Amino acid sequence: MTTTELKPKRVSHALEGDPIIRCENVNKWFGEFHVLRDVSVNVQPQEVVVVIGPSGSGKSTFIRCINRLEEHQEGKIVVDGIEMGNDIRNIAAIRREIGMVFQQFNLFPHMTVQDNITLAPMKVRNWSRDKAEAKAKELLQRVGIPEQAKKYPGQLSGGQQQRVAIARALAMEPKIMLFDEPTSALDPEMIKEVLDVMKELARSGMTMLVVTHEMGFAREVADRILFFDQGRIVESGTPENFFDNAQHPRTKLFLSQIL
Amino acid sequence: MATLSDQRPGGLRGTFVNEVESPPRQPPILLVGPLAWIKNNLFNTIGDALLTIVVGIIVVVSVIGLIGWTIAQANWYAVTFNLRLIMLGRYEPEAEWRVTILVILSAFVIGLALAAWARVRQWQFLTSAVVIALLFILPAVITTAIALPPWYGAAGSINIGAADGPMPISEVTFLGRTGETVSIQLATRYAESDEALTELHSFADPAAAAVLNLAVNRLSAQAQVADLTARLESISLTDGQRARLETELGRITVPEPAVETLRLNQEAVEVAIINGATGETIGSATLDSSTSPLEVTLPADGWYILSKTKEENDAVSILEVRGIYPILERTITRGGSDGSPAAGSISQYVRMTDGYLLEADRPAGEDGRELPFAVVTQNQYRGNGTFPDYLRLYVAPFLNQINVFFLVTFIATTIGYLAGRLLDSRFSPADRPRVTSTRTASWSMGILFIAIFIGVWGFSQGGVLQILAFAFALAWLMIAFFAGGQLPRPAGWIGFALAAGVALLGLLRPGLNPIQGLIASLVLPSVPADSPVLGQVIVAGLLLLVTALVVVIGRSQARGTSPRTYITLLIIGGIMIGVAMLAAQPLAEVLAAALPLTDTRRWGGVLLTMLLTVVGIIGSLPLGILLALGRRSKAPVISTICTLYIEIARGVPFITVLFMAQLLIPLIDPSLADFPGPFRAMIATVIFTAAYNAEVIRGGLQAIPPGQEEAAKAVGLSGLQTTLFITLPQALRLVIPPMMGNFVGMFKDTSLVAIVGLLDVLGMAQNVIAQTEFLGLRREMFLFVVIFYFVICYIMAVVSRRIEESGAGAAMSRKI
Ligand SMILES: Nc1ncnc2c1ncn2[C@@H]1O[C@H](COP(=O)(O)OP(=O)(O)O)[C@@H](O)[C@H]1O
Ligand SMILES: [Mg+2]
Repeated sequence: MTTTELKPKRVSHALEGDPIIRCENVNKWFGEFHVLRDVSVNVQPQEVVVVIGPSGSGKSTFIRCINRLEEHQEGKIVVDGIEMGNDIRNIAAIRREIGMVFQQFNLFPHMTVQDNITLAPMKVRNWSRDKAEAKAKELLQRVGIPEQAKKYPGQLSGGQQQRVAIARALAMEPKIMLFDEPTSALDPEMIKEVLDVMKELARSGMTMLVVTHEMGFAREVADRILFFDQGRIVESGTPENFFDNAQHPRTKLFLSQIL
Repeated sequence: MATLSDQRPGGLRGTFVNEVESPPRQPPILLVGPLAWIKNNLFNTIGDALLTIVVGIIVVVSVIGLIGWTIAQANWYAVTFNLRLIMLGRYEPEAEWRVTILVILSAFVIGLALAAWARVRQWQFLTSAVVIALLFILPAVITTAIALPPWYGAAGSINIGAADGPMPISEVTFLGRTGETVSIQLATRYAESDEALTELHSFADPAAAAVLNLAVNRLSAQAQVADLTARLESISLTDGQRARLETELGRITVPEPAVETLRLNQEAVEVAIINGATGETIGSATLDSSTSPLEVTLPADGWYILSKTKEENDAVSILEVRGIYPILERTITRGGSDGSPAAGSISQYVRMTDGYLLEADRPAGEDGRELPFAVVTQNQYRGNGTFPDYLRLYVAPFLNQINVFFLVTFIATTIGYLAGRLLDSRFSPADRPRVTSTRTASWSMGILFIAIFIGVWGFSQGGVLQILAFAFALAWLMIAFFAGGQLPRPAGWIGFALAAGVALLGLLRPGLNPIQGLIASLVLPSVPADSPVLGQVIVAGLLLLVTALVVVIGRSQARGTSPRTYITLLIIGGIMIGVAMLAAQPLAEVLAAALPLTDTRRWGGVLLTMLLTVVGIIGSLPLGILLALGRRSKAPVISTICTLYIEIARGVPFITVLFMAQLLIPLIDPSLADFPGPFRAMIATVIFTAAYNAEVIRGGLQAIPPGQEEAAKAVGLSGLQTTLFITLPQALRLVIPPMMGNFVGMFKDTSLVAIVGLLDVLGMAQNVIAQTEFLGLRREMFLFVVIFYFVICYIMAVVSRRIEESGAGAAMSRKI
């Protein structure tokens, strides 16, 4: 973390110094299948946490639990001081503060890029159209595609679509951004443009939870790396420790396979 | 040119650099353009080529046959003379102007819609304009360039052909107009020989037709004899064959030529034209082969008599008369169903060739006897028609009847289109150039729908509450629309619900049970409200409540709007409602006087078909959406109810739903026994089509990738918002083709209402051909109905394709 002084001060339900995401012994089953086992992790504001692990280890399920796209069955998830439960108002309040970017972009194909971005601020935050559009313009500038506002997602390249998806998530001015393998569906020459946007975002002080296989990105940007295996966090550490001095045999095996 | 192998002699040595410049070339002629299309699509393989040729031959043969029949044999009077019936049924003529205005309004809204969602290119506009101009020019050219075919009538005093054959009639009545010339002469040209007689093709009276039949019979007998004789002369016949041919030959007798037995045109004929009203003879002559034609110019519009007498002898004459045309008699019922003095049935007499109409009883002749009425209702065209006769007799009158309609529609559409463009150029921001016309068009469509319903039907004295409810809903809509920034927010919907509630509450009067009230509210304007005061009190109370709600909900919903705007809107809305409360009673009276209720039993023809279709589409779409969402609902009660409804409605034939609507509605409540038939059919249509729409929409919803819903939730949209803005719009776009298929099916199914006694296009067609003067013209009538249904269905298909291809649909179909 280099540019700490840039980070804006924000109102939070959490007490000063508390983690912005707190998971305690989170357990989840898909039917018989125990997909998350006693996952406990705290994320501090402005921290960038990269989650890696073999396919099927529960990474996606874990970060989807954080904005309640999946429901956990045991344990506690507290986001920004609000506990995730069955209370619809809590869920809505938490989702307002969390942006998410998906592997498959999931842009709304029937709306222009601009409408994709302005929809949620107008409907959820009740912004006026002018305000939302100004924000959209600013964000498109930030992700480097200001000229595409009037196009439909289907008319953009994969990299451009993913950048729109990031802008769409940012438009709600979230405190936390979740990324679920944002570059896995992209052609190699487009991966960099998306990673650059994410790096810039990390530098600006956004709290980020990123599932990715981009080890270069993890090494450069992450404050902490979580290694998932069979639904458990097997190892967690700084990039330096993780890549150069892995402890757990599974981690070593995994790294030896991909590096 | 250097090739690869030239440059790589060793095969694998070194790098290969291709230095030959190859600029882009035109593709070979057979790869692009129409030739390529023909080759690829019609003659790709030998099988294709064979198929193309066979199908081509079948198509050409059947089309030629159909066109030949259309021109030479078909009698299109049943269609051209019943256009009003086919269009409007027996809709009150006094209320016809309302339909005219509604057509103009609809055309205007279509123009707006074109401006909002399509673009009319210059050539399209010019083509339409030229077509419209042709609708006027063609009939004018045809009527001046082509003379009407003459009418042939026989004169004489013997039965023709046989002892019980037809006897020429001595007096024929016809309708004439001032300044028209009637000319009468002997048809010398045709009387020369039987061969010449068979050439005759035109209108002929029964006696003249009998003369022609004689000639035709004789010629065919003659031909048969010639054929048999020729075969007998051949040498290769066995004795048995020869004997058989000879007996056959013996059985045939060739009569004397008809022109000789009847001594055709041998004797003089006395002809006269007599004024039917006064009995005065206007002109007379004794015609024989040497005299010139008798020409008479008619002094006034009205009835005339052609008298053609002959001395008692065995000669028959055929007269060629120009200026006399077949007439149709029809009886129509006039006046309202309320038994006003004007009501009653009168006779109309219509000249088939130009539609000249005389609306009166036949006058009595000079000595009190009725005018001879023979032949006037004859419409037999004798022999194969020629193309000019087809143009003159059917095409020109038909075009003359429809051209004004198309001109008016065209002008109204153009004005609507220009208005839409003007609105956009004045008020739409540069980045959303069509937003104003789009909004205006959407709104106008809603208003048009209400206007159609009230306009066609009318308004009763008791419409006060409806006016109030309408003003109320409008005020609400306005507030929600402008304050919310775009689509009506929940606040707006609450306003709608309350307005509907007002209408309902007002209807729950003593004497009406809730079900009656509910059904009555479906047919708003016809329900008399006995206690408008009560209604106004309810409105006032609700107004207060709602105003409080507006402040609360509106503040949370429309944070972007400044309080000043909001308060202004509230005040305007309040004033609108206040004015409506004061003006509702007098307005209802004025409307009821201007638009008295029409008799729903008299609705028919295209009008009824279109009403059923429009109501069916507008009613079944939202109901279908609700059912589809309901069936997917997680609440078992809702999903079970919706599933049951859908499966039951889809599990029965439409005709049974129609019958149930006819038979079961009175069982709900006896007072509904005279609930109008067209409305029952509308309810049945909506109920039935909604189930099919629901299934189609459910399919669309299932086809939306789950990621869409997840993304919507992740940005914080609520479940309702996700459905409204994300899944439903995409699903609806996806299902436009199958849904349009449903609507086309529904449109065609409306023809089943003929079975439950409603006279839609098909019912009216059946009704027309059941009349004596149109007996035997079913083919023409049904062909016309076929064309009508096809044209409308085709338009629906084109519109659906355009919607699919427009805007986001285009982008979506490229890639999701
Ligand atoms: N909706 C579901 N129902 C049943 N099993 C699921 C579901 N979603 C994921 N799984 C299973 O849970 C495991 C973890 O999945 P996931 O979190 O997507 O893994 P990762 O993202 O690490 O590849 C996988 O074995 C997967 O098959
Ligand atoms: Mg995953």
